[in-house]
Amino acid sequence: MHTSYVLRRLLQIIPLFLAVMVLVFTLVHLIPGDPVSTLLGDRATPDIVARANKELGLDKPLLVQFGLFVNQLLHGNLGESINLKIPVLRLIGERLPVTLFLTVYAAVLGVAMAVPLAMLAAVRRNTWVDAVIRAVFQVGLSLPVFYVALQLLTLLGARLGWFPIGGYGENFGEHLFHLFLPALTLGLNLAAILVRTLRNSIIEVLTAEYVDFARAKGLRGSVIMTRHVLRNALIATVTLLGLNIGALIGGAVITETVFAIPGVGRLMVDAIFGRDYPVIQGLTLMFALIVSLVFLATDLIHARLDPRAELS
Amino acid sequence: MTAPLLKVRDLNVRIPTPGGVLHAVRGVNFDLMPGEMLGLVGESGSGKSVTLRSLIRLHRPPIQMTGTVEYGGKNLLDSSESKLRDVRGGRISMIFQEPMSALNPVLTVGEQIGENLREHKGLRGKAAQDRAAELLDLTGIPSPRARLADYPHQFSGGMRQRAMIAIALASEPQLLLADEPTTALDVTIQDQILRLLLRLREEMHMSVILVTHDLGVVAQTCDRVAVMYGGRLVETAGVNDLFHAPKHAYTLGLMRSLPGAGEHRRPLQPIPGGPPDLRSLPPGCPFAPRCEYVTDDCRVGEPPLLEVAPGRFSACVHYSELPALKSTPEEVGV
Amino acid sequence: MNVKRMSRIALSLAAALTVGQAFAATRGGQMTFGRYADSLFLDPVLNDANLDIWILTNLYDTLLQPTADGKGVQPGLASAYSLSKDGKTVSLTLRSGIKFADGSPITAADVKWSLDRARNPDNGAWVGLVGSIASVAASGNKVTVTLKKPDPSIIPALATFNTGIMPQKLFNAAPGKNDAEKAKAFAEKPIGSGPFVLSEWKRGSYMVLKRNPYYWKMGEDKKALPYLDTLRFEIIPDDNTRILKLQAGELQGAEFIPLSRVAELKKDPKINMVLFPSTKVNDIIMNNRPKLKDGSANPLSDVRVRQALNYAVNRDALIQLVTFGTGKPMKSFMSSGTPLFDPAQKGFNYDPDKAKALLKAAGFEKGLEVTSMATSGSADDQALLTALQQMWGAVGIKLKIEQLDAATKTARYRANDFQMRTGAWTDDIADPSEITGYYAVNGDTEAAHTGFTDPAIEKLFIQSQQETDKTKRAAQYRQIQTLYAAASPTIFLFETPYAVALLNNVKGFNQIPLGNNIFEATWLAK
Repeated sequence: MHTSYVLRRLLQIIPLFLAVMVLVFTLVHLIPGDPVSTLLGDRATPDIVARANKELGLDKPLLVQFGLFVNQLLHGNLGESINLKIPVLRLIGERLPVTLFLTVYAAVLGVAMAVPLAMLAAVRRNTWVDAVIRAVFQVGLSLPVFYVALQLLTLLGARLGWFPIGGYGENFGEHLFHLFLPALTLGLNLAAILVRTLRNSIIEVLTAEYVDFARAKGLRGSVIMTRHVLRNALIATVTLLGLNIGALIGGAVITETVFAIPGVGRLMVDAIFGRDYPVIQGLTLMFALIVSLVFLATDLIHARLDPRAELS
Repeated sequence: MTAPLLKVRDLNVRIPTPGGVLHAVRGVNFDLMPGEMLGLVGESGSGKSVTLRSLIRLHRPPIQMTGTVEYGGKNLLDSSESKLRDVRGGRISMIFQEPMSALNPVLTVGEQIGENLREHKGLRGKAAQDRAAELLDLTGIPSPRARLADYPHQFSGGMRQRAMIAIALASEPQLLLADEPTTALDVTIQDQILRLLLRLREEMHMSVILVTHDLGVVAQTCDRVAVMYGGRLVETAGVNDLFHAPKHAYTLGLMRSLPGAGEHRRPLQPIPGGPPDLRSLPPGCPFAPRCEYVTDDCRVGEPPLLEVAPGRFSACVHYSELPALKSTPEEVGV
Repeated sequence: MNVKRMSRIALSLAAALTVGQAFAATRGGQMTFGRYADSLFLDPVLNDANLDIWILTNLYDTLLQPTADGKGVQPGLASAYSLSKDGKTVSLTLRSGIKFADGSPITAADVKWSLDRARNPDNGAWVGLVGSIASVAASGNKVTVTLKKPDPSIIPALATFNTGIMPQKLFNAAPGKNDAEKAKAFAEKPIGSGPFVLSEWKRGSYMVLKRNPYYWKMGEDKKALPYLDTLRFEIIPDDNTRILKLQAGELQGAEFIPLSRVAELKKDPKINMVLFPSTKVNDIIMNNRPKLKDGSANPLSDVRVRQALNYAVNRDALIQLVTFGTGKPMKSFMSSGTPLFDPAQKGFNYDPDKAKALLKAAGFEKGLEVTSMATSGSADDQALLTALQQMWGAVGIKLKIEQLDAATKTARYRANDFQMRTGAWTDDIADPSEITGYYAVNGDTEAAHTGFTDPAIEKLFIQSQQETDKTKRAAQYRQIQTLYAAASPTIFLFETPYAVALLNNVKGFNQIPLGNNIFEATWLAK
């Protein structure tokens, strides 16, 4: 039954975690540079750096460090940020909800834009409507996220003053308001990715036999669209959305920087540039967890929507 | 004289393709009487399915349909969308060849019957459920009430076809269009479905147009037969007459290519050559390149469909020269 | 009383009144200031970065304070100080009635404990600045700092951030087994005696500082500073976004304005675009060693080649291209804002012919190839090195650019695995010893990792570290700078100011050449 499937999938995350941990740990420690001298820059004398590395345990052999890290993890401790000197878990706890809010908001906006436009393009396929929709999103896809973000901020935020310039706000309402532009930026990017495949899926559905059969039954166009076409197209959307979670998170990094949002995207970038190993490791594990859960959720929703699908 | 249920005059269907316009149906005329089971027979590419779908204007632009399909005093090809939708599924239903692709995979069979009931009979809720179960029972599906909640992929091939028939019959139509309903099924199931269709026709006083390439099916079920070749009707006749004495060289060829279970054990004689390319037809009878009776008369212009005997039409110049087959439908291996 | 006298009195009264009115700062309000990155760790001794240093002065006080021009010192928590004749003892008198932000009095014990903590060799990176202290004694309102040897930089050192006075009792009451752990806990809600105290800190997002009601310094209106009620820092990493927010009035000030936007913001009537003089120098650090890390011969080990590179640079053009006219040429390895900078230094003028002659004399008539590390993603580095490519190309030197991220660049630099790199420096203390010890002396950091060493400079430096006579010390530094320029271990480029954009109603903000942001006298005009 479903519960055993879910349990099994959750258990499968454990070996994945292990692999991710080893990979990240090795990669991050192999890159040249260390946190202390990076932070101090030119002022770092060998003594200071040596002393700091000793305090942080960075002078121990890699295998020992890894062992300590795993041990810590098993006790539910992700260590402490070298640069910020607060526990990584606490950092993530503060910043993750922000990024999640942004990502979900962006997904909602993206789907809200992609689905109707893909449907329109599919129904009016090979006409100018279709061509325009596809061309617009093609161009949009080739524009870097950074550029779109800045344009939206300048136009809608600064010049027209409709939206606040960056920041996060203090309560739910303010979050919605402040995050609209960044969510729109990411949503447009997502919509651009979704529209093409969605359009093709919808065309596939539209030209499917069962749509003809539905027409032969004398059903109204709107009924056909919603009951027959949309539900089948929705299956494709959900899968696509789940698979593109990576793109959403990646886009969040840039958007968070431009719009000054205190999320984990920016935290990760700062951590990498600053060689803040515990934060890099902790965040990577967290990303792995989130992506795994999203994939699991996508599979479950897919199975729910499509009666033919079997959870093996 | 009873009035025909359906009058088709000069039906033409043109399909634009990258290689040119495909004139798939070229001036088809026929009448359908109430309660009649008409078989529309031909090879693949003869235009029979395209014709069938045109009757309820199922093709979408850029496919062009011209001519008249007169039903209930109106030309279906000219009617408004809403009037057409009343007819479709309500008075004229259609079943398709492959039920696995014709039934929406994400809706239960019960829901798909219910759509029809809601749209054309105004039934909802419990009343709809009851009627839906009745329909499944009518089409011979065991434990009908339980199966309402099943999805198409949970039915076996034959059961699926029965379910599709149940959906089509939900609105108790006057006319059922059946597009090769048994082609995808194996022989034993085929038989069951055909018997079912016959029974339902009796019980519900329906007319049926059955499209098939299989003469055996025609022999088993139809009252009258219309033979199509190269997008045109080349012969129409009562079923017995057709099998006994075909009046078109093509029909004759078809008969001869059937395995005979009758007196003689004669070898199969397939018709040489292949179906014509409808994008570039030679002038004259479309069958001419493959016909053993062909003469120059055949190539002059396309021979018209003429009444060569009461109730029998033929478009063959040499119809009178064609031999009788001395076979009955039963002998034709049915 | 005659009319003349009366009118004079009246005039002076009127003048006094108007002057009083003209200087009347408006009290209250919140100023929102946009920073490009968030502070990391608010501990005076254990912090590592300018991000923290430059705002620590708003939270913690030092015994002495830098003057507004950043070059000298003025009284801070100590109202008076004196240096003994032999230069080995500094005596300071604490002000009366000084308190920490929680109202508890600042005692001599706090002062001794803070200074001892700052000079503890186990604590942090800035120990060297107070390395000459032998012992600290404090009782009542007298503080005596005894030095191992005379140290002319001790006075400015007592005005430097790492000697900020902290509350011993409160610090020790913080949870933690050792100094580092207590520091972490204490730094989340630090209590100092500076004009502001930390009220709220949402990391990566904003920091709110509230007025310290116990601050000792008086304003123009004879009431305690600061004028502002609240100071709010918002973290906006993207330059464009920061400027947009300022222009929309959502910020009253924004730091680190890209030099390319300065001209545009100067024209904006709503904005006061200020260029604060700094101690920031931008140079190219060269590896002077005979062989590079990979064993290949290093042409830069020849002083003629290094000088040629310096002469081949058109600094005026660079200043236009890279700093958009806001910079000025470097004449010495230290900035013109550093005390004991020698204004008589000539630096290097633009002389490509001389450069070619020098190269020819060194045997590189056919030209040579050099590689410089650059910080990837830095538009400034990119612009700078591209311009230098052109200029050096004109004298036959081919420059290859290697893009690396900051951490990798630092790692390779510290391993001496480089030929050239872009470099920048700001002083942390208002004394030339820090930068000289770093760049000119082959100590722990091998003269900014150039490998350069000049025994004459070493000797002069050691002397200057104990020279209490200002004139003699200035002469020693003049010599050091002359010798350094002649040896040309680095390429002098330009000094750049701190570019801060403020709204017109912001008054009294100052950024001293050391980089400290001073908000104590800032007020918002109505």
